[in-house]
Amino acid sequence: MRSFKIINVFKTVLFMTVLSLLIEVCNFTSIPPQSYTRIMMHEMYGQRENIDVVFLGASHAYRSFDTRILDEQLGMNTFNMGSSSQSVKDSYFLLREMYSHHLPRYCILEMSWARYNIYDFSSNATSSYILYDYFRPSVNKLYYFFSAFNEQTAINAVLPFRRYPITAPSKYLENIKAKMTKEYFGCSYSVAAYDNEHYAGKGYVYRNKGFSRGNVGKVEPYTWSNLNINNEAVYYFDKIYKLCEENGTELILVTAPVPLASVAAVGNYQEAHEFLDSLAEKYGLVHYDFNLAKKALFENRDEYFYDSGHMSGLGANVFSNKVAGILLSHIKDIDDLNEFFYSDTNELMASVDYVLNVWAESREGKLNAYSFHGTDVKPEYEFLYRTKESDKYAVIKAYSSIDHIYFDLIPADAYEVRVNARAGGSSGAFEQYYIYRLDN
Amino acid sequence: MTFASLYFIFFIITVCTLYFAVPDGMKWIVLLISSYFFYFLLSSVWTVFILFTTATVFISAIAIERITEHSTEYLNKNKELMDEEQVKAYKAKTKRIKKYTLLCGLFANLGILIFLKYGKFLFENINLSTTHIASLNWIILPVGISFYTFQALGYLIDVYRGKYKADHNFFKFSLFLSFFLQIIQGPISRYDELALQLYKPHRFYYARAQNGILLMLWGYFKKLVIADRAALYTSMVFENYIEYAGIEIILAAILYTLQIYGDFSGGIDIIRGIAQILGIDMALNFKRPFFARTVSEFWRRWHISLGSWTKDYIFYPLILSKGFARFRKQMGNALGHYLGKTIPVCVSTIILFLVIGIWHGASWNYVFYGLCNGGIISLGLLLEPVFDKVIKITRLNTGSRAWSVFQMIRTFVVLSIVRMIVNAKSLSAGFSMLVSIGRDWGNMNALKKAIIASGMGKWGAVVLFTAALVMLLVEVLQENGIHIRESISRQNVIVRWITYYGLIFAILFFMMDSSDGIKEFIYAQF
Repeated sequence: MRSFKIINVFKTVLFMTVLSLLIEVCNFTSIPPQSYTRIMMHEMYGQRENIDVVFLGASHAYRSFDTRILDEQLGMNTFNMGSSSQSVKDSYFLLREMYSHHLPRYCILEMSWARYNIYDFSSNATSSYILYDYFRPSVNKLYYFFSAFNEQTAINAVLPFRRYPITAPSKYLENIKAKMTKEYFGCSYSVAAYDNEHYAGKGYVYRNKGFSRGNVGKVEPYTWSNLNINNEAVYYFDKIYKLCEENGTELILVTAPVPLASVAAVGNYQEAHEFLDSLAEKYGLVHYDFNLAKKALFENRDEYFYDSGHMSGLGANVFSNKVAGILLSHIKDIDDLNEFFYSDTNELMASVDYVLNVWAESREGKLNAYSFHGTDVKPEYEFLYRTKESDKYAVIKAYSSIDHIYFDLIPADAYEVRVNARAGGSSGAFEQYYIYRLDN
Repeated sequence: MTFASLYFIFFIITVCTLYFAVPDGMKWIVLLISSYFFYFLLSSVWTVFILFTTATVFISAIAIERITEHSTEYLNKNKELMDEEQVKAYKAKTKRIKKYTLLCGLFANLGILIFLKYGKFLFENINLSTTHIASLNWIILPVGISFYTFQALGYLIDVYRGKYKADHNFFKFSLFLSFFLQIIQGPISRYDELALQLYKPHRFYYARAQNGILLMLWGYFKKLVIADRAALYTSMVFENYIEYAGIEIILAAILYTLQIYGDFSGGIDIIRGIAQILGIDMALNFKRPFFARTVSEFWRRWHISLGSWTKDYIFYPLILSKGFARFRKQMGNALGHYLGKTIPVCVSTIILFLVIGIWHGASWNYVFYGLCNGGIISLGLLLEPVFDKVIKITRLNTGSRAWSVFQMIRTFVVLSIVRMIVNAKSLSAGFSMLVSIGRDWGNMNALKKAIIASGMGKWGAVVLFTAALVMLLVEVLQENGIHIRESISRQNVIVRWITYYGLIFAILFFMMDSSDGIKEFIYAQF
């Protein structure tokens, strides 16, 4: 009887072991090799030196805080733990994970307003999956599991391969081929390198190219509403604060910049800013909102961004130098840093004497131009066209304050229309432009 | 917490571990605590209703038993002092008191069920026909109320009939009514079949657990791979039925039948599998219903526990009642022997199915569902002599395989149509769908577009079709007397394990993605 039981226990253990192995095989063959978080977490666990400064936040964080520059400027070991769509809850569990391996002196929490409002995607567990996958087994991981996933999403956290449905068998082979390399097993940066961006080390992701000068185009940033406050985010903000306090870490709030056109497009950015400021005030923290930074501190230029919210490598380089300066000043308490920031968006927009962006849309037989610009700027638009064969533009309508042209005015052989915009009274060829393709 | 969630699996692992770890005397306590924990998670404050039912039925049953005992005791003591008339009068009085006690128990619980489940519907209809009286929109239906109320009433009636003695342990009786595996979607168990199994301690048996797990996996396969995938298409078509016609509607009707079967029988397989691990045999609720050759046979194979409950507690009491005997006699005198015998059966059948229909929910669709099923069966009974004559004249070989297959397909088609009408947004929508079947026949392009629009896609359709074929194949084998699980357990370890892993990975790979949501079990709403 006893031996019978032992055999059954052995069979069960063997069955479960083979099952776990098969699941691992499925994970290995189904999950694509490229993952910034995989390398970031691996690097965090592998850091021999204590991490002194940790950056937490969504993609704004891992694309804005260049740890190579920050290390050099601050003279400390910095680490960027930003990850795509990271929620404040994700940040909390990442910070807990960080504490089980390092004891940072400063925690820089990136304060993009979108993290504190509720959107359709807010209940999406993707941002947690990509982190949970690479947490080492621990009580914190278990706690994270029960906090981040619900009945619907838990299964895909336990079985990550289910999140990558593959319909073509060749994709399995591609994954296996890409993973059976020294680079993959060693978590080499080259595994997470794309044509236009790459993992540059200690959590920072470098983007090769930003907007061309004057070609910001239409921006569609996250909106803000005081009626849609994400209470869960506020709850975990409180937990982050307390966790930092318990561990003797200073929590500093920094909002990484977005193009000024995005700030204008939000419409009520001041409300978002005030909400974030109120959080800082409630806990006696400092909040540096670089969207309100004066030119003397940080000049918000088109080429520093590659879309309506994220910084290019060039932008991150400039921003990281500036933020390092601010942090050093803050640490040493040498300057009144408020003088580097506008007090509100009215003041900010009043300081802008140019057009921030321009785009065009067809409506009721007309091509309408739209733009964001400084408060006192009266924009003027120029409409040009070119044919497919030619690379030179011909004027349809010269600069004027009229913001549209009728389609009848556009020659039949036109391939695209270019809309130039500039502040009224300016003599420049353009400040912003937009290409409208007629074959759309 | 749905049966199809990972949290439920964690819950089951915990319950099973605790159950086998504690001493024998405490095993039923583990089940009771788990059951109330589970029920409270699903219903929170509404748990008060199941407690009310437990308390009232428990007290009523004991009262009925006491009355019987007291009466027997009294008669034994005073038999010599009483004449025959006095004994008769005393017995009639006792019977009356017992009946009133039973009725109190029945009405208290049926009252709650009717108020919570049908109150809103009744008030809505009253409001439609007269001026606005009240709205009961605030009512939330407690989970499993239809199941546990019927189970409790069955117990009370059985105690009244003297089938068994009343349970004197309130906590054990609470377990019988709240047992977490049956609370969401049945089966409606009988006290003499389930209670003792729950109270008795069971040891862990490896082979039994293995069998139970296999049954659970099969249930998950039916629910997650077939039912939830079919739901993508059916919910789209039923929601926007005006946009679809012809073959698109036919596919929706077929897939809905598959969906509801996969969903309900899958759920039952899951709970029967878990019960088996614990050493408890739960009543069979399905017996391959799509092999039924008539609608009445279908109901002996589909939701068996509800069918047998209504038969035992509604149909037979009705048909054997004095009123019906008189009715049968009157009919016999007026319409002859056959019709005189058949019409009362038909009336009882229609009443029985009306109850079954209304049991499902408060809407005219379910009234139609009951009347339709009862009507079809009754019509079949009334026309039986005609059918017999036609068969005789045409010399149809009713014993042939082809005839059986024809009958199965006919039953499937009829019931799929009825279900389609019932599942529609309203009865008029259901009939509109039925009419739409005649439009745009054979528009395969529209069908392809609809499948893609549903989110199932070509690949999903292939998965669904293959999974349905596998299910059909398994059922064909079972129908032919092959016990699949036993056959698997007789194979060598390699074949066995390949089968287990195959089933596990078929579920893991092909179950619906969580972004589309694991659908709640359909019968959990009833």
